[in-house]
Amino acid sequence: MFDYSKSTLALLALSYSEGTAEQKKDILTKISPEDIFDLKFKGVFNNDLTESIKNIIKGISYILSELDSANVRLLSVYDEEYPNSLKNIDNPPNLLYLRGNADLLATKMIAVVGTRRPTRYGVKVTEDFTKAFAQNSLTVVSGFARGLDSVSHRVCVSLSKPTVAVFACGLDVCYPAENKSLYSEILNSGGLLVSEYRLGVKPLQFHFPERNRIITGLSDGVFLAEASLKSGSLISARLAVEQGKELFVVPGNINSEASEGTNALIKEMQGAVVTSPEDVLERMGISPFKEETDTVQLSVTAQFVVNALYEGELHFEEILEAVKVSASELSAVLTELEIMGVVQKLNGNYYALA
Amino acid sequence: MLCKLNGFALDGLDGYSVAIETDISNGLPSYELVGLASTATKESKERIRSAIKNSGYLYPQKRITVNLAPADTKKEGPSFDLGIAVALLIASEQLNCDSYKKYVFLGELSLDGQLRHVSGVMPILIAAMQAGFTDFIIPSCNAKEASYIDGLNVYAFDSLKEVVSFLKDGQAKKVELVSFNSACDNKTFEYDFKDVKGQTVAKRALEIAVSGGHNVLMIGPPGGGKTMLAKCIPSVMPDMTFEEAVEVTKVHSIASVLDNSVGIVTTRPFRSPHHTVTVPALIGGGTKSRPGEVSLANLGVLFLDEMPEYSKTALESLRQPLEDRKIAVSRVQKAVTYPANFMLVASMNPCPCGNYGSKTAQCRCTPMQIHNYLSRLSAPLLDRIDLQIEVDGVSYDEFRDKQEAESSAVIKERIDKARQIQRNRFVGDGILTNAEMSERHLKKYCAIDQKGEQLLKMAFERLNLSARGTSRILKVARTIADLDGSENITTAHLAEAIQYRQLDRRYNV
Repeated sequence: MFDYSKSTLALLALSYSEGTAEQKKDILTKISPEDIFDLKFKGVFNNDLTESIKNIIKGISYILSELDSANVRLLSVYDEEYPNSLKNIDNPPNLLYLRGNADLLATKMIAVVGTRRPTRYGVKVTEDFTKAFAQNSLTVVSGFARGLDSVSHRVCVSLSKPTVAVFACGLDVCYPAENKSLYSEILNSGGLLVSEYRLGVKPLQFHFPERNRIITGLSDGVFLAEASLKSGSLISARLAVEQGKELFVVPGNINSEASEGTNALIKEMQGAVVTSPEDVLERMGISPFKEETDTVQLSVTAQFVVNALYEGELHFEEILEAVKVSASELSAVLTELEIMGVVQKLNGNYYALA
Repeated sequence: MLCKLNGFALDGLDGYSVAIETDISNGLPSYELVGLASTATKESKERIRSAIKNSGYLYPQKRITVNLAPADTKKEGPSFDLGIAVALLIASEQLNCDSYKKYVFLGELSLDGQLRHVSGVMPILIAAMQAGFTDFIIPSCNAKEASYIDGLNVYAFDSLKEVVSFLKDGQAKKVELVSFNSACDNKTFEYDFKDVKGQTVAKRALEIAVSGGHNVLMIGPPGGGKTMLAKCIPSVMPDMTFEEAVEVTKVHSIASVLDNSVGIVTTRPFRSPHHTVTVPALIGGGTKSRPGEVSLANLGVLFLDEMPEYSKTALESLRQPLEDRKIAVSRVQKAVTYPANFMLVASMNPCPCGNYGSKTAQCRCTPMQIHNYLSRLSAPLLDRIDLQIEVDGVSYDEFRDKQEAESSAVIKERIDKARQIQRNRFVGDGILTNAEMSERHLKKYCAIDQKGEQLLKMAFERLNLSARGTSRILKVARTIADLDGSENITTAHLAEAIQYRQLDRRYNV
């Protein structure tokens, strides 16, 4: 069990106690957390909140053992390890619940956010940029949600790089449920799960904007690949600017509904536009690490296929037309190119260079 | 007086001889039918009375007892009408002859004495022939069915009156033997692959599927041409041999779906039950243990359009017939085994709205919806489907126009060649196609070299393939090699086979 300071334990009790967020905030402005822990409620009227706090502090060891068995530790705003970038935002969370590698909080972080319903373009961009970030020892922070959040976490996990996921619910609640495997994969690859909600709290609607302030707060920069006009990621982006973070936005197809939000952002803030991972790395003050590419020997047909694909993604029929071989030969060549990692199969019999 | 003559009944595909015994004795006029007759059989009483009267004979006003022996098996259907009526005429001494004893009588009577069609004539004739009967009297509308079987004396008549006069004087023409080939001559197909422009991958995959008898799943947005492609399959399927045609006809005859003007099934069946199909309709059942769609599709194609829309129980019930190639329909009264050796062709959308992964249209489904949609197909069921391909509607009109599509006849020639190779290879193995290979056959016929092994290993690592699909890839690769006329499976064959495992590789959002 960790040895927590009195103030951390007081904040823990406060977080478990009954009462509104306002009441809790109010009590902290009136007395110090140490006094709360020592049950010295000077100048505070006895009400439900203080009664509740008293009861919880009496049984605090039970809560601590519960946290311990869930492998969750606490970090309060009074702790030294508490990241400064987060402390400096408007309304920093008093208490964070952490599971996994807490050392990541000291690293340089970049938030990767985006729509829950990405297009093929959004997924590709997010994958490419996240890969570059992870390989250049930036810690990728995201919200564990469906869509681009999960894509960015998955890229990190597949590269065995640590990633930080900020939850909008208790750390023992896996939301969305289909990310159950991702949950353990993040932990296994040395990642960190963060939440300001105590164990067992459900992902309520208003938690998501609250969570967004932690994602942007933790990071030094925020990267946005794709967002529609209604996307919550736009709020994150504006929040990031308010918090004084760097914002990086990738332009999208002007006809695509899924890119309307990002394009609108770019119109507002021309400085935010980036078109390659290097743009981001440069502005984050990191010299890009060049990935070594091994040269592969391709057969004549394979070379023709690759040349055809330089123009962009093509349908099987179009490649067939360009390369003029039999369908069976082309299928075989495409499989081999896929295995070599040169070509990528997209949905609907489309192929593109990987 | 007592009269005893022969009838015949079916139990599944096998038949048994039924003795129709009629006794007329003095007493109050009555008609008693014993021998576990079903309702349709019992009702023969009224038909027979009217038919006898309207044919100009007298219905005996005496105590009539009819027994259908063996007495402990359930007799279904109206096919004993003719036998009972003739027996009554003999027992009442209106017809005096001895010739009736050698015939088997089949036929339903109408009230005016005409003979009507009965189901299952071909399986009855075949079973009766094996039981030692050679002479038959059947309705003339069933004559076609009988005309393909050699070694029988079959007489077909339109009415009870004709039957009686034949029994008196023996003057009638036998049903003539017709060769199966002549029935196959005017075979036409509604759909031809030359009408399908583009879709090269899908066509190639279907060619492979038909060549090796592999089950195939087509995934694609609505309007992509999946149904059209499936409907073209019969036009490239190998011709049926006479034995195969008889096997198919027997089942179709029992289920009363046979075309009586031809009398035999000349093209491989293509069955496409609607997705609301019930389990008994799909695999067979009912009190009569009627054959289901899987048996009607025997030696042909069972096409399930929009596969995830079928009920889960219906889909899961396909697992046994897909594995054993036959289906045991067990009911309290009856347990029957029907053949169910079909090629499964299924189609599905990639998601409920159909646009998931589309380049042009926006998908409106949530990931949960897509997950639920796909999870309706269980892994054990998908395990039995060798080829999974994507079919999408490309709208390059100009591009399509300049392309000359291959006709089904050309494709069929290649398929026939590949099938011949398989037949030669599997002599003595008891199987005909690559799809039927078991693990033992795989070891024997699908050896791959070290380079192939390496390719497979890389494919599993890099392409998210499940190792469970190995045997399926090997089988398909074997068929590709056969189409290529190649003895060994090369890496190119394997690589192509891997392309047809699309469902394994997608949908990990």
